Amino acid sequence: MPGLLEIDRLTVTSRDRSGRPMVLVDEVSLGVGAGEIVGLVGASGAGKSLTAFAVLDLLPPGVERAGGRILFEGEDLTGLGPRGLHRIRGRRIAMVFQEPASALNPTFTIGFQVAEAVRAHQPRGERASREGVRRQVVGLLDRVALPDAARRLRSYPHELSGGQRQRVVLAMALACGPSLLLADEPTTALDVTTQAQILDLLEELRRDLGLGVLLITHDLPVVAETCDRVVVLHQGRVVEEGSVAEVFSHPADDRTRELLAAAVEAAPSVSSALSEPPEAAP
Amino acid sequence: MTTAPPLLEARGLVKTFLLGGGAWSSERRTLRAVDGVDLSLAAGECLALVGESGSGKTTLGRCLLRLEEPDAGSVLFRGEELLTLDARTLRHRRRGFQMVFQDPLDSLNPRMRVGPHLAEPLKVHRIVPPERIAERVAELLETVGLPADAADRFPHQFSGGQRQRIGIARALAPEPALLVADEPVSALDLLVRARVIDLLRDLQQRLGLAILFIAHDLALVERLAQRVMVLHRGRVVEHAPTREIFDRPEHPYTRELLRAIPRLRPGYRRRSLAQRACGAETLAGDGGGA
Repeated sequence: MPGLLEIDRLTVTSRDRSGRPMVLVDEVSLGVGAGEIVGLVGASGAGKSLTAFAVLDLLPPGVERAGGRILFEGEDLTGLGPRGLHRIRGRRIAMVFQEPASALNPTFTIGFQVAEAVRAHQPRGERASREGVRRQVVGLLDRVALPDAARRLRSYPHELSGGQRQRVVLAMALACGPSLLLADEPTTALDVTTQAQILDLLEELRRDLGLGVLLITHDLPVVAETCDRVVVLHQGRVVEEGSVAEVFSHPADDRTRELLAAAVEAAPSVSSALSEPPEAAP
Repeated sequence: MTTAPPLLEARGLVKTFLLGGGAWSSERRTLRAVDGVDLSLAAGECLALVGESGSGKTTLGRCLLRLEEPDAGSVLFRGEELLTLDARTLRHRRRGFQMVFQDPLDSLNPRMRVGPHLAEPLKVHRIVPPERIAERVAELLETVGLPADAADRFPHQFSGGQRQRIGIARALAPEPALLVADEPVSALDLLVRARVIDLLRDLQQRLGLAILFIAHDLALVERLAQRVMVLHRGRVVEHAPTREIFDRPEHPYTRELLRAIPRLRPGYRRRSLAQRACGAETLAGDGGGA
Protein backbone atom coordinates (compact mmCIF):
# COMPACT_ATOMS: atom_id res chain seq x y z
CA MET A 1 0.00 0.00 0.00
CA PRO A 2 2.98 2.39 -0.10
CA GLY A 3 2.49 5.84 -1.49
CA LEU A 4 3.23 8.24 1.34
CA LEU A 5 6.97 7.67 1.35
CA GLU A 6 8.81 5.80 -1.37
CA ILE A 7 12.53 5.42 -1.08
CA ASP A 8 13.91 4.24 -4.40
CA ARG A 9 17.43 2.79 -4.60
CA LEU A 10 18.88 5.16 -2.01
CA THR A 11 22.66 5.07 -1.74
CA VAL A 12 24.58 6.84 1.03
CA THR A 13 28.36 7.01 1.04
CA SER A 14 31.23 8.31 3.12
CA ARG A 15 35.01 8.04 2.98
CA ASP A 16 37.31 6.07 5.26
CA ARG A 17 40.48 7.56 6.77
CA SER A 18 42.52 7.01 3.65
CA GLY A 19 39.88 8.73 1.53
CA ARG A 20 38.46 5.64 -0.12
CA PRO A 21 34.68 5.77 -0.65
CA MET A 22 32.58 3.53 1.59
CA VAL A 23 29.00 2.58 0.77
CA LEU A 24 26.92 2.78 3.96
CA VAL A 25 23.46 2.42 2.43
CA ASP A 26 23.40 0.43 -0.79
CA GLU A 27 20.44 0.92 -3.16
CA VAL A 28 17.84 0.64 -0.43
CA SER A 29 14.23 0.77 -1.56
CA LEU A 30 11.29 0.81 0.81
CA GLY A 31 7.88 2.37 1.15
CA VAL A 32 5.52 3.55 3.88
CA GLY A 33 1.83 4.07 3.24
CA ALA A 34 -0.58 6.36 5.11
CA GLY A 35 -1.83 4.65 8.26
CA GLU A 36 0.87 2.03 8.05
CA ILE A 37 3.67 1.18 10.50
CA VAL A 38 6.77 -0.20 8.80
CA GLY A 39 9.60 -1.67 10.85
CA LEU A 40 13.17 -1.10 9.68
CA VAL A 41 15.34 -3.65 11.51
CA GLY A 42 18.94 -4.78 11.53
CA ALA A 43 21.95 -5.03 13.82
CA SER A 44 23.88 -1.95 14.93
CA GLY A 45 25.61 -0.39 11.92
CA ALA A 46 23.29 -1.89 9.31
CA GLY A 47 22.35 1.58 7.99
CA LYS A 48 18.89 1.94 9.58
CA SER A 49 19.34 5.40 11.02
CA LEU A 50 21.25 6.74 8.01
CA THR A 51 18.35 5.72 5.78
CA ALA A 52 15.96 7.79 7.91
CA PHE A 53 18.37 10.72 8.20
CA ALA A 54 18.75 10.76 4.41
CA VAL A 55 15.00 11.28 4.00
CA LEU A 56 15.21 14.67 5.74
CA ASP A 57 18.72 15.45 4.50
CA LEU A 58 20.02 15.31 8.07
CA LEU A 59 23.07 13.15 7.33
CA PRO A 60 26.11 13.84 9.50
CA PRO A 61 29.02 15.81 8.00
CA GLY A 62 31.13 13.75 5.62
CA VAL A 63 28.23 11.42 4.83
CA GLU A 64 26.24 12.08 1.69
CA ARG A 65 23.48 10.80 -0.49
CA ALA A 66 25.11 9.44 -3.62
CA GLY A 67 22.08 8.24 -5.51
CA GLY A 68 18.43 7.29 -5.52
CA ARG A 69 15.15 9.11 -5.16
CA ILE A 70 13.03 9.84 -2.12
CA LEU A 71 9.41 10.42 -3.05
CA PHE A 72 7.17 11.91 -0.39
CA GLU A 73 3.52 12.35 -1.35
CA GLY A 74 4.72 12.05 -4.94
CA GLU A 75 7.34 14.80 -4.69
CA ASP A 76 11.05 13.99 -5.02
CA LEU A 77 12.74 15.37 -1.90
CA THR A 78 16.19 14.96 -3.38
CA GLY A 79 15.48 17.75 -5.84
CA LEU A 80 14.38 20.22 -3.18
CA GLY A 81 16.71 22.92 -1.94
CA PRO A 82 16.97 23.99 1.70
CA ARG A 83 13.85 26.18 1.39
CA GLY A 84 11.82 23.39 -0.12
CA LEU A 85 12.95 20.95 2.56
CA HIS A 86 12.09 23.45 5.28
CA ARG A 87 8.50 23.25 4.06
CA ILE A 88 8.54 19.47 4.61
CA ARG A 89 10.79 18.94 7.61
CA GLY A 90 8.94 19.07 10.88
CA ARG A 91 5.69 19.99 9.11
CA ARG A 92 4.86 17.04 6.90
CA ILE A 93 7.54 14.65 8.19
CA ALA A 94 8.50 14.57 11.86
CA MET A 95 11.27 12.62 13.54
CA VAL A 96 11.80 11.33 17.09
CA PHE A 97 14.97 9.81 18.50
CA GLN A 98 16.12 7.24 21.04
CA GLU A 99 17.07 9.59 23.86
CA PRO A 100 14.23 12.06 24.45
CA ALA A 101 16.38 14.16 26.77
CA SER A 102 18.62 15.12 23.85
CA ALA A 103 15.67 16.51 21.89
CA LEU A 104 14.57 18.77 24.76
CA ASN A 105 16.24 21.92 26.03
CA PRO A 106 16.93 21.42 29.75
CA THR A 107 16.59 25.16 30.50
CA PHE A 108 13.03 25.70 29.25
CA THR A 109 9.75 24.33 30.55
CA ILE A 110 8.06 21.68 28.45
CA GLY A 111 5.06 24.01 27.99
CA PHE A 112 7.35 26.59 26.39
CA GLN A 113 8.99 24.04 24.14
CA VAL A 114 5.77 22.50 22.88
CA ALA A 115 4.34 26.02 22.35
CA GLU A 116 7.42 26.88 20.30
CA ALA A 117 6.75 23.90 18.07
CA VAL A 118 3.11 24.96 17.70
CA ARG A 119 4.04 28.56 16.78
CA ALA A 120 6.88 27.59 14.45
CA HIS A 121 4.54 25.70 12.21
CA GLN A 122 1.63 28.13 12.15
CA PRO A 123 0.92 29.57 8.74
CA ARG A 124 2.20 33.12 8.28
CA GLY A 125 -0.24 35.81 9.39
CA GLU A 126 -2.33 33.42 11.45
CA ARG A 127 -0.74 33.99 14.83
CA ALA A 128 -2.92 32.42 17.47
CA SER A 129 -3.49 34.18 20.80
CA ARG A 130 -1.51 33.11 23.86
CA GLU A 131 -4.59 31.38 25.13
CA GLY A 132 -5.10 29.66 21.78
CA VAL A 133 -1.54 28.35 21.77
CA ARG A 134 -1.88 27.18 25.35
CA ARG A 135 -5.03 25.29 24.49
CA GLN A 136 -3.25 23.61 21.58
CA VAL A 137 -0.29 22.67 23.78
CA VAL A 138 -2.52 21.11 26.41
CA GLY A 139 -4.43 19.35 23.64
CA LEU A 140 -1.24 17.86 22.24
CA LEU A 141 0.00 16.74 25.65
CA ASP A 142 -3.39 15.17 26.34
CA ARG A 143 -3.21 13.46 22.95
CA VAL A 144 0.06 11.76 23.96
CA ALA A 145 -1.49 10.91 27.36
CA LEU A 146 0.94 12.88 29.49
CA PRO A 147 -0.65 12.55 32.91
CA ASP A 148 -1.98 15.81 34.34
CA ALA A 149 -0.94 17.77 31.23
CA ALA A 150 -2.21 21.23 32.23
CA ARG A 151 -0.26 21.17 35.47
CA ARG A 152 2.87 19.80 33.77
CA LEU A 153 3.31 22.83 31.49
CA ARG A 154 5.69 24.46 33.93
CA SER A 155 7.80 21.34 34.51
CA TYR A 156 11.35 21.13 33.23
CA PRO A 157 12.53 18.06 31.30
CA HIS A 158 14.57 16.71 34.22
CA GLU A 159 11.44 16.61 36.36
CA LEU A 160 9.85 14.04 34.07
CA SER A 161 10.52 10.33 33.72
CA GLY A 162 12.04 8.95 30.50
CA GLY A 163 8.64 7.81 29.23
CA GLN A 164 7.04 11.18 30.00
CA ARG A 165 9.85 12.95 28.16
CA GLN A 166 9.32 10.75 25.10
CA ARG A 167 5.61 11.68 25.23
CA VAL A 168 6.54 15.38 25.23
CA VAL A 169 8.85 14.84 22.24
CA LEU A 170 6.02 13.06 20.42
CA ALA A 171 3.68 15.98 21.24
CA MET A 172 6.19 18.37 19.65
CA ALA A 173 6.50 16.09 16.63
CA LEU A 174 2.70 16.10 16.23
CA ALA A 175 2.40 19.88 16.65
CA CYS A 176 2.51 20.45 12.90
CA GLY A 177 0.16 17.62 11.99
CA PRO A 178 2.71 15.56 10.03
CA SER A 179 1.60 12.70 7.83
CA LEU A 180 4.81 10.70 8.33
CA LEU A 181 6.76 9.99 11.51
CA LEU A 182 10.33 8.67 11.44
CA ALA A 183 10.91 7.05 14.83
CA ASP A 184 14.52 6.04 15.47
CA GLU A 185 14.69 3.54 18.36
CA PRO A 186 12.06 5.57 20.26
CA THR A 187 11.70 3.05 23.09
CA THR A 188 15.16 1.52 23.38
CA ALA A 189 16.10 3.67 26.38
CA LEU A 190 12.82 2.93 28.20
CA ASP A 191 11.55 0.28 30.61
CA VAL A 192 9.52 -2.57 29.11
CA THR A 193 6.34 -1.27 30.74
CA THR A 194 6.89 2.27 29.45
CA GLN A 195 7.92 0.90 26.07
CA ALA A 196 4.59 -0.90 25.78
CA GLN A 197 2.74 2.38 26.52
CA ILE A 198 4.70 4.38 23.94
CA LEU A 199 4.20 1.68 21.28
CA ASP A 200 0.48 1.63 22.11
CA LEU A 201 0.54 5.38 21.56
CA LEU A 202 2.13 5.01 18.11
CA GLU A 203 -0.58 2.54 17.18
CA GLU A 204 -3.30 4.97 18.38
CA LEU A 205 -1.78 7.81 16.34
CA ARG A 206 -1.73 5.57 13.30
CA ARG A 207 -5.32 4.53 13.86
CA ASP A 208 -6.74 7.95 14.79
CA LEU A 209 -4.69 10.31 12.60
CA GLY A 210 -3.76 8.01 9.74
CA LEU A 211 -0.11 8.65 10.48
CA GLY A 212 2.46 6.66 8.51
CA VAL A 213 5.32 5.48 10.74
CA LEU A 214 8.79 4.22 9.91
CA LEU A 215 9.87 2.49 13.13
CA ILE A 216 13.60 1.87 13.36
CA THR A 217 14.63 -0.74 15.90
CA HIS A 218 16.89 -3.70 16.50
CA ASP A 219 14.14 -5.41 18.46
CA LEU A 220 12.25 -7.95 16.37
CA PRO A 221 9.56 -8.71 18.94
CA VAL A 222 8.68 -5.00 18.99
CA VAL A 223 8.31 -5.08 15.21
CA ALA A 224 6.21 -8.25 15.30
CA GLU A 225 3.73 -6.75 17.73
CA THR A 226 3.58 -3.22 16.34
CA CYS A 227 4.25 -3.15 12.59
CA ASP A 228 2.34 -4.04 9.43
CA ARG A 229 5.42 -4.68 7.35
CA VAL A 230 9.11 -5.18 8.02
CA VAL A 231 12.27 -4.37 6.07
CA VAL A 232 15.45 -6.15 7.19
CA LEU A 233 18.76 -4.37 6.58
CA HIS A 234 22.17 -5.99 6.69
CA GLN A 235 25.35 -4.06 5.97
CA GLY A 236 23.49 -1.36 4.11
CA ARG A 237 21.35 -3.64 1.94
CA VAL A 238 17.77 -4.82 2.14
CA VAL A 239 17.99 -8.57 2.65
CA GLU A 240 14.31 -9.22 3.24
CA GLU A 241 11.00 -7.41 3.10
CA GLY A 242 7.38 -8.37 3.59
CA SER A 243 4.36 -8.41 5.86
CA VAL A 244 5.14 -9.11 9.50
CA ALA A 245 3.04 -12.28 9.51
CA GLU A 246 4.80 -13.63 6.43
CA VAL A 247 8.41 -12.71 7.29
CA PHE A 248 8.14 -13.97 10.86
CA SER A 249 6.55 -17.28 9.93
CA HIS A 250 8.68 -17.94 6.83
CA PRO A 251 11.91 -15.94 6.99
CA ALA A 252 13.70 -16.29 3.68
CA ASP A 253 17.08 -14.81 4.52
CA ASP A 254 19.73 -16.20 6.88
CA ARG A 255 20.22 -12.81 8.55
CA THR A 256 16.51 -12.61 9.32
CA ARG A 257 16.59 -16.16 10.69
CA GLU A 258 19.51 -15.26 12.93
CA LEU A 259 17.73 -12.19 14.33
CA LEU A 260 14.59 -14.28 14.82
CA ALA A 261 16.47 -17.05 16.59
CA ALA A 262 17.90 -14.52 19.05
CA ALA A 263 14.41 -13.15 19.66
CA VAL A 264 12.95 -16.61 20.19
CA GLU A 265 15.74 -17.47 22.61
CA ALA A 266 15.21 -14.24 24.52
CA ALA A 267 11.44 -14.65 24.68
CA PRO A 268 10.16 -15.87 28.03
CA SER A 269 7.82 -18.80 28.29
CA VAL A 270 4.82 -17.43 30.08
CA SER A 271 1.56 -19.00 31.10
CA SER A 272 -1.10 -18.92 28.40
CA ALA A 273 -3.25 -16.59 30.49
CA LEU A 274 -0.78 -13.84 29.71
CA SER A 275 -0.09 -14.53 26.05
CA GLU A 276 -3.43 -13.19 24.88
CA PRO A 277 -4.56 -9.56 24.96
CA PRO A 278 -5.24 -8.42 28.51
CA GLU A 279 -8.81 -8.31 29.69
CA ALA A 280 -10.13 -4.79 30.06
CA ALA A 281 -9.49 -3.30 33.48
CA PRO A 282 -12.57 -3.28 35.70
CA MET B 1 14.08 -22.36 49.52
CA THR B 2 17.59 -22.94 50.76
CA THR B 3 19.02 -24.31 53.94
CA ALA B 4 22.56 -23.01 53.53
CA PRO B 5 23.37 -19.98 55.68
CA PRO B 6 22.97 -16.84 53.59
CA LEU B 7 25.95 -15.07 52.08
CA LEU B 8 24.07 -11.80 52.13
CA GLU B 9 21.15 -10.95 54.36
CA ALA B 10 19.25 -7.70 54.67
CA ARG B 11 16.52 -6.84 57.17
CA GLY B 12 14.15 -3.89 57.14
CA LEU B 13 16.17 -1.73 54.76
CA VAL B 14 14.86 1.81 54.33
CA LYS B 15 16.27 4.59 52.21
CA THR B 16 14.53 7.95 51.95
CA PHE B 17 15.44 10.78 49.62
CA LEU B 18 14.54 14.41 50.09
CA LEU B 19 12.77 15.86 47.08
CA GLY B 20 13.33 19.60 47.06
CA GLY B 21 10.92 21.86 45.22
CA GLY B 22 13.95 23.95 44.20
CA ALA B 23 16.38 25.88 46.38
CA TRP B 24 13.91 28.65 47.27
CA SER B 25 10.91 26.49 47.72
CA SER B 26 9.50 25.75 51.14
CA GLU B 27 8.02 22.61 49.69
CA ARG B 28 9.89 19.56 50.96
CA ARG B 29 8.71 16.12 50.07
CA THR B 30 10.38 12.82 50.71
CA LEU B 31 10.55 9.70 48.61
CA ARG B 32 10.86 6.30 50.23
CA ALA B 33 12.96 4.66 47.51
CA VAL B 34 13.44 1.52 49.58
CA ASP B 35 10.66 0.88 52.04
CA GLY B 36 11.37 -1.96 54.43
CA VAL B 37 12.98 -4.66 52.31
CA ASP B 38 14.13 -8.06 53.61
CA LEU B 39 16.31 -10.18 51.40
CA SER B 40 18.70 -13.08 51.56
CA LEU B 41 21.05 -14.65 49.08
CA ALA B 42 22.95 -17.92 49.46
CA ALA B 43 26.46 -18.50 48.16
CA GLY B 44 26.35 -19.46 44.48
CA GLU B 45 22.73 -18.42 44.05
CA CYS B 46 21.29 -15.90 41.58
CA LEU B 47 18.49 -13.64 42.77
CA ALA B 48 16.83 -11.19 40.38
CA LEU B 49 15.46 -7.82 41.51
CA VAL B 50 12.92 -6.69 38.95
CA GLY B 51 10.87 -3.51 38.67
CA GLU B 52 10.49 -0.43 36.49
CA SER B 53 12.57 2.71 36.90
CA GLY B 54 11.65 4.38 40.15
CA SER B 55 10.80 1.05 41.81
CA GLY B 56 13.87 1.32 44.05
CA LYS B 57 15.79 -1.64 42.66
CA THR B 58 18.99 0.27 41.94
CA THR B 59 18.93 2.10 45.27
CA LEU B 60 18.39 -1.22 47.03
CA GLY B 61 21.37 -2.73 45.23
CA ARG B 62 23.52 0.24 46.21
CA CYS B 63 22.39 0.12 49.83
CA LEU B 64 23.33 -3.55 50.04
CA LEU B 65 26.91 -2.73 49.06
CA ARG B 66 26.91 0.47 51.11
CA LEU B 67 27.45 2.60 48.03
CA GLU B 68 24.45 4.38 49.53
CA GLU B 69 23.87 4.71 53.27
CA PRO B 70 20.47 3.26 54.23
CA ASP B 71 18.41 5.15 56.85
CA ALA B 72 17.43 2.02 58.71
CA GLY B 73 17.90 -1.71 58.63
CA SER B 74 20.72 -4.17 58.68
CA VAL B 75 22.95 -5.78 56.03
CA LEU B 76 24.91 -8.91 56.95
CA PHE B 77 27.61 -10.15 54.61
CA ARG B 78 28.96 -13.54 55.73
CA GLY B 79 27.26 -12.83 59.04
CA GLU B 80 29.02 -9.51 59.61
CA GLU B 81 27.08 -6.24 59.84
CA LEU B 82 28.22 -3.96 56.99
CA LEU B 83 26.37 -0.82 57.99
CA THR B 84 28.45 -0.15 61.09
CA LEU B 85 31.87 -0.91 59.59
CA ASP B 86 34.42 1.91 59.48
CA ALA B 87 35.64 3.01 56.05
CA ARG B 88 38.93 1.13 56.28
CA THR B 89 37.42 -2.23 57.17
CA LEU B 90 34.68 -1.72 54.62
CA ARG B 91 37.31 -1.23 51.94
CA HIS B 92 38.78 -4.62 52.82
CA ARG B 93 35.38 -6.30 52.84
CA ARG B 94 34.60 -4.85 49.39
CA ARG B 95 36.85 -7.52 47.98
CA GLY B 96 34.04 -9.95 48.62
CA PHE B 97 31.32 -8.10 46.69
CA GLN B 98 31.68 -6.30 43.38
CA MET B 99 29.40 -4.38 41.07
CA VAL B 100 28.77 -4.50 37.31
CA PHE B 101 27.13 -1.39 35.86
CA GLN B 102 24.73 -0.84 32.96
CA ASP B 103 27.08 1.13 30.75
CA PRO B 104 30.64 -0.07 31.17
CA LEU B 105 31.93 3.03 29.39
CA ASP B 106 30.90 5.05 32.44
CA SER B 107 32.98 2.87 34.73
CA LEU B 108 36.05 2.46 32.51
CA ASN B 109 38.72 5.12 32.13
CA PRO B 110 38.79 6.08 28.44
CA ARG B 111 42.53 6.87 28.55
CA MET B 112 43.57 3.64 30.25
CA ARG B 113 44.14 0.39 28.41
CA VAL B 114 42.15 -2.66 29.47
CA GLY B 115 45.14 -4.42 31.09
CA PRO B 116 45.70 -1.80 33.82
CA HIS B 117 41.96 -1.73 34.50
CA LEU B 118 42.18 -5.38 35.50
CA ALA B 119 45.59 -5.11 37.17
CA GLU B 120 44.50 -2.31 39.52
CA PRO B 121 42.15 -4.35 41.73
CA LEU B 122 44.72 -7.18 41.75
CA LYS B 123 47.27 -4.77 43.24
CA VAL B 124 44.91 -2.96 45.61
CA HIS B 125 43.66 -6.18 47.17
CA ARG B 126 47.01 -8.00 46.77
CA ILE B 127 45.28 -10.89 45.03
CA VAL B 128 48.44 -12.22 43.38
CA PRO B 129 52.15 -11.36 43.76
CA PRO B 130 53.29 -8.57 41.38
CA GLU B 131 55.11 -10.95 39.05
CA ARG B 132 51.92 -12.93 38.47
CA ILE B 133 49.69 -9.95 37.60
CA ALA B 134 50.09 -10.15 33.82
CA GLU B 135 49.30 -13.84 33.89
CA ARG B 136 46.19 -13.27 36.02
CA VAL B 137 44.99 -10.48 33.70
CA ALA B 138 45.24 -12.91 30.78
CA GLU B 139 43.26 -15.50 32.75
CA LEU B 140 40.54 -12.98 33.57
CA LEU B 141 40.21 -12.02 29.90
CA GLU B 142 39.93 -15.68 28.99
CA THR B 143 37.31 -16.24 31.68
CA VAL B 144 35.02 -13.63 30.11
CA GLY B 145 35.72 -14.77 26.55
CA LEU B 146 37.98 -11.93 25.37
CA PRO B 147 41.22 -12.43 23.41
CA ALA B 148 44.49 -11.96 25.31
CA ASP B 149 45.49 -8.96 23.17
CA ALA B 150 42.45 -7.08 24.54
CA ALA B 151 44.70 -6.02 27.42
CA ASP B 152 46.60 -3.64 25.11
CA ARG B 153 43.56 -1.87 23.71
CA PHE B 154 41.43 1.03 24.94
CA PRO B 155 37.78 0.70 26.03
CA HIS B 156 36.41 2.61 23.01
CA GLN B 157 37.94 0.03 20.66
CA PHE B 158 35.44 -2.57 21.83
CA SER B 159 31.79 -3.20 20.97
CA GLY B 160 29.10 -2.78 23.63
CA GLY B 161 29.00 -6.48 24.45
CA GLN B 162 32.79 -6.71 24.70
CA ARG B 163 32.90 -3.67 26.98
CA GLN B 164 30.42 -5.33 29.28
CA ARG B 165 32.74 -8.36 29.35
CA ILE B 166 35.56 -6.03 30.41
CA GLY B 167 33.32 -4.65 33.17
CA ILE B 168 32.63 -8.20 34.33
CA ALA B 169 36.33 -9.16 34.21
CA ARG B 170 37.16 -6.12 36.33
CA ALA B 171 34.50 -7.06 38.86
CA LEU B 172 35.88 -10.63 38.99
CA ALA B 173 39.47 -9.52 39.57
CA PRO B 174 39.27 -9.33 43.40
CA GLU B 175 37.71 -12.83 43.40
CA PRO B 176 34.43 -11.80 44.97
CA ALA B 177 31.77 -14.18 46.30
CA LEU B 178 28.97 -11.86 45.17
CA LEU B 179 28.38 -9.89 42.00
CA VAL B 180 25.72 -7.18 41.94
CA ALA B 181 24.85 -6.55 38.27
CA ASP B 182 22.68 -3.48 37.71
CA GLU B 183 20.98 -3.70 34.29
CA PRO B 184 24.13 -5.21 32.76
CA VAL B 185 22.57 -6.00 29.38
CA SER B 186 19.87 -3.36 28.93
CA ALA B 187 22.01 -1.28 26.58
CA LEU B 188 22.87 -4.24 24.34
CA ASP B 189 20.95 -5.63 21.38
CA LEU B 190 19.23 -9.01 21.55
CA LEU B 191 21.97 -11.10 19.95
CA VAL B 192 24.64 -9.75 22.30
CA ARG B 193 22.35 -9.78 25.34
CA ALA B 194 21.88 -13.53 25.18
CA ARG B 195 25.65 -14.12 25.09
CA VAL B 196 26.34 -11.93 28.12
CA ILE B 197 23.56 -13.67 30.08
CA ASP B 198 25.14 -17.01 29.09
CA LEU B 199 28.47 -15.75 30.43
CA LEU B 200 26.97 -14.76 33.78
CA ARG B 201 25.26 -18.12 34.15
CA ASP B 202 28.49 -19.85 33.28
CA LEU B 203 30.39 -17.82 35.90
CA GLN B 204 27.78 -18.58 38.51
CA GLN B 205 28.14 -22.30 37.90
CA ARG B 206 31.88 -22.47 37.31
CA LEU B 207 33.05 -20.11 40.06
CA GLY B 208 30.19 -20.65 42.48
CA LEU B 209 29.49 -16.95 42.31
CA ALA B 210 26.37 -15.47 43.88
CA ILE B 211 24.68 -12.93 41.61
CA LEU B 212 22.18 -10.23 42.43
CA PHE B 213 20.78 -9.37 39.01
CA ILE B 214 18.90 -6.08 38.74
CA ALA B 215 16.67 -5.58 35.68
CA HIS B 216 13.50 -3.89 34.49
CA ASP B 217 12.76 -6.71 32.08
CA LEU B 218 11.59 -10.05 33.44
CA ALA B 219 12.52 -11.74 30.15
CA LEU B 220 16.20 -11.34 30.99
CA VAL B 221 16.09 -13.21 34.26
CA GLU B 222 14.24 -16.37 33.30
CA ARG B 223 17.31 -18.35 32.29
CA LEU B 224 19.60 -16.96 34.94
CA ALA B 225 17.93 -16.43 38.29
CA GLN B 226 16.75 -19.10 40.71
CA ARG B 227 14.49 -16.64 42.52
CA VAL B 228 12.84 -13.36 41.57
CA MET B 229 11.81 -10.46 43.79
CA VAL B 230 9.48 -7.95 42.15
CA LEU B 231 9.83 -4.44 43.51
CA HIS B 232 7.20 -1.75 43.20
CA ARG B 233 7.55 1.65 44.82
CA GLY B 234 10.28 0.49 47.15
CA ARG B 235 8.47 -2.60 48.39
CA VAL B 236 8.68 -6.27 47.51
CA VAL B 237 5.31 -7.14 45.99
CA GLU B 238 6.15 -10.69 44.96
CA HIS B 239 8.95 -13.09 45.76
CA ALA B 240 9.07 -16.63 44.36
CA PRO B 241 11.18 -19.16 42.50
CA THR B 242 11.64 -17.98 38.90
CA ARG B 243 9.51 -20.69 37.32
CA GLU B 244 6.58 -19.84 39.56
CA ILE B 245 6.80 -16.14 38.74
CA PHE B 246 6.46 -17.00 35.05
CA ASP B 247 3.88 -19.77 35.43
CA ARG B 248 1.71 -18.36 38.21
CA PRO B 249 2.33 -14.63 38.70
CA GLU B 250 0.18 -13.51 41.59
CA HIS B 251 0.58 -9.77 41.97
CA PRO B 252 -1.11 -7.59 39.32
CA TYR B 253 2.12 -5.64 38.90
CA THR B 254 4.06 -8.83 38.11
CA ARG B 255 1.43 -9.72 35.53
CA GLU B 256 1.78 -6.27 34.00
CA LEU B 257 5.56 -6.69 33.77
CA LEU B 258 5.10 -10.05 32.06
CA ARG B 259 2.56 -8.68 29.59
CA ALA B 260 4.79 -5.75 28.67
CA ILE B 261 7.54 -8.03 27.35
CA PRO B 262 7.39 -7.86 23.58
CA ARG B 263 7.14 -11.30 22.07
CA LEU B 264 6.86 -12.54 18.51
CA ARG B 265 3.11 -12.16 18.25
CA PRO B 266 2.31 -10.52 14.90
CA GLY B 267 -0.47 -7.97 15.22
CA TYR B 268 -0.62 -8.22 19.02
CA ARG B 269 -0.72 -4.48 19.71
CA ARG B 270 -3.56 -3.79 17.33
CA ARG B 271 -5.62 -6.69 18.68
CA SER B 272 -5.01 -5.81 22.28
CA LEU B 273 -5.82 -2.11 21.79
CA ALA B 274 -8.97 -2.96 19.87
CA GLN B 275 -10.02 -5.30 22.65
CA ARG B 276 -9.32 -2.72 25.33
CA ALA B 277 -11.31 -0.11 23.42
CA CYS B 278 -14.32 -2.44 23.54
CA GLY B 279 -14.01 -2.84 27.28
CA ALA B 280 -13.57 -0.19 29.88
CA GLU B 281 -11.34 2.72 28.97
CA THR B 282 -7.95 2.51 30.60
CA LEU B 283 -5.55 5.37 30.43
CA ALA B 284 -1.90 4.47 30.41
CA GLY B 285 0.09 6.62 32.81
CA ASP B 286 3.78 6.66 33.39
CA GLY B 287 3.75 5.89 37.07
CA GLY B 288 5.55 8.42 39.20
CA GLY B 289 8.16 11.03 38.48
CA ALA B 290 11.85 10.66 37.68
